Amino acid sequence: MELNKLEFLLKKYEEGNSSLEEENQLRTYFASEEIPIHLRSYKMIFAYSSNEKNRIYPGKIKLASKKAQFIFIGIAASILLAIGIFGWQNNSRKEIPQYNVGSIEDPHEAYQKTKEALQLVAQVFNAGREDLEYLNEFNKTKNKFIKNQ
Amino acid sequence: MNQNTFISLINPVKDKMYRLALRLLISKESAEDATQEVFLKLWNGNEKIKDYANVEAFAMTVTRNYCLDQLRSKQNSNLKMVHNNYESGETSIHDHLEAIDELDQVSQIINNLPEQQKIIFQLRDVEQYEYEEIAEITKMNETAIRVALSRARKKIREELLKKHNYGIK
Repeated sequence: MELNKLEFLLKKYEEGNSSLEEENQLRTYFASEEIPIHLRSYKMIFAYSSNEKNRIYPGKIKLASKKAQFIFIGIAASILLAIGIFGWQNNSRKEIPQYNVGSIEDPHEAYQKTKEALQLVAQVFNAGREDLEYLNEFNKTKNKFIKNQ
Repeated sequence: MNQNTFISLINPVKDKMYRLALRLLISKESAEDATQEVFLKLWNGNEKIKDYANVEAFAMTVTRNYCLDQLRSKQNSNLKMVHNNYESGETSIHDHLEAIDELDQVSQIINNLPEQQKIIFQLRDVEQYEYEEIAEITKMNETAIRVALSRARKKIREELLKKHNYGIK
């Protein structure tokens, strides 16, 4: 290619006005070896873009693979769940032996024991409530403001 | 549409999609993941594909949008990914400074271009699409495309001249 035409095409190229055909002419030209030194940058650009076109997608086209995975996980989970429930029900069906469960025959003694147990619960509740005493401070402060209005 | 039809439609485009993803995301792993994601997107919505006369342009648009979304979400979460394709790991720093491959230099310059220009350079100079096709993929008008392309081409050459003294006559 004569230098005149080359410079003309390169100008068009830089302005974004060259056609694909002209760009291919340039690409072919710069693929040859004898390039004037001041045009070496173009050689690099064209070599780069031609080279990039050779990259290929390394993977395979996998479709719905993720979905299938989820379905598989779902099936596995439901089987486990079914086994679990089945096993649990089987276990709980075992009769609890009526002796040795700590039941008390005498009504008075039972009443006392129940009272003791409830007392214990009440104590724990009260201990917990004491920690909340400071909440009353909020009410006091609030009342001050409301009165002032 | 069954799987085989879909694959035969997408097969001719898949490398182009991957290359566009690679251009934007830079890391090979991310690009491969992104391409795979886009296949699934296209497949799961494959009823829609028939509406689009040009499957190739549609696939490229989806790829472009997906990659741009990926870049945005990375920026949003303040996780600046360090893009390295750890292939040149064996070469010492000395070697690296002394003789970076010429094509790597071009690649580095392009990586620093704005996203829009990267996309357009990729579509035109690498994939050799016509301007109308680029317009369809990017949803930009042709004038804007030519302007961006011209800027990209000038910038790449300018940077190359800075690195070398090729420009001195």
